[in-house]
Amino acid sequence: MSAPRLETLSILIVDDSKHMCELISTMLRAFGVVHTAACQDVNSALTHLRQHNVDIVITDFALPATNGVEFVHQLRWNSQSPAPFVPVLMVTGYSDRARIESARDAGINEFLVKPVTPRALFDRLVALIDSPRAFVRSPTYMGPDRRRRRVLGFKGPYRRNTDGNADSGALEV
Amino acid sequence: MASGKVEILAPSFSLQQKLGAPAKHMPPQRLQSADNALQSLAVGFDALRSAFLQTLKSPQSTSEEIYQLAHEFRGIAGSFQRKSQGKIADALCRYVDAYRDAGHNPDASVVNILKNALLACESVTMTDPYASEKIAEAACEATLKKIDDFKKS
Repeated sequence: MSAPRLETLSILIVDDSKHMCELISTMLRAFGVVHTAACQDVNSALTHLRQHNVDIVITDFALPATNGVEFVHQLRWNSQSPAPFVPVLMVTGYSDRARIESARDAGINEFLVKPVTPRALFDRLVALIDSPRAFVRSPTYMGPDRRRRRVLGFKGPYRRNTDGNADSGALEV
Repeated sequence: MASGKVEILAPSFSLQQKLGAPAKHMPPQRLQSADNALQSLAVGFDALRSAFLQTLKSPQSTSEEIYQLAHEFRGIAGSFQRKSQGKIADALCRYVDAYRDAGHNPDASVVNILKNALLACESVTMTDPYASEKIAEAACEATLKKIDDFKKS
């Protein structure tokens, strides 16, 4: 099988640390990704997204004046959002449950706890590209399906009208 | 969207289609290239680390100067085998952030303790990584408690 044409990808890095931006973009370039851009805050990231086609956003959890969760929330929910469906990888130094859950509930696709290593970054890219999840739009949540596992033989309780319906293709929790 | 309606859109494989093959089929030598590229950044990291240590040691350094370098250092330290130091730098940033957000100046003695913990980590990190880790844990735990106490007060 031929190699993936990673040079066709366009990736935006959002982080106020220029060293971290350089670290991530260096790894991406080594993978073969040619088009990378870096923004240091949410406003410039949104502006960039309005002006360019971006395939993947990699954002830090902590950003100046706000945080990555708020940024992703804006991306997913704002009616003026330039990229409500863009896959988002969130990078953070913390792995506590509260942060992971807040990021997940904001609609991120993948989470990467520092230190950022080539292997860890590559694994998250593979997850984003090769194993995309269904996208859920509901009054309270917008983002990739938060249920990652299919539990065979699950009898309920069901939370959605389509849950438990074999024809719907819905995942069971 | 109608109130209460839940829409589930099928997973999009558009990125994989754009790449023409699964991403996991990236040639393994590119991963090796990325490891090598990371090593090539070690020089820049060492320069940052030296500047940070120099700033920590200098009695003239302000909290703001220490904060700026700590902020840059904390994110990438773990990628260059300085995880413990990165944790302390992070604790330092969180401490300064907490005080700043409340409109207070950070307590110089706390910054000093973290500074000494970081320098202690540096001195043992290659010979005794376990001790380095323990120093970082103790320093971070004490700082987080200090932040908690400050927020409660």
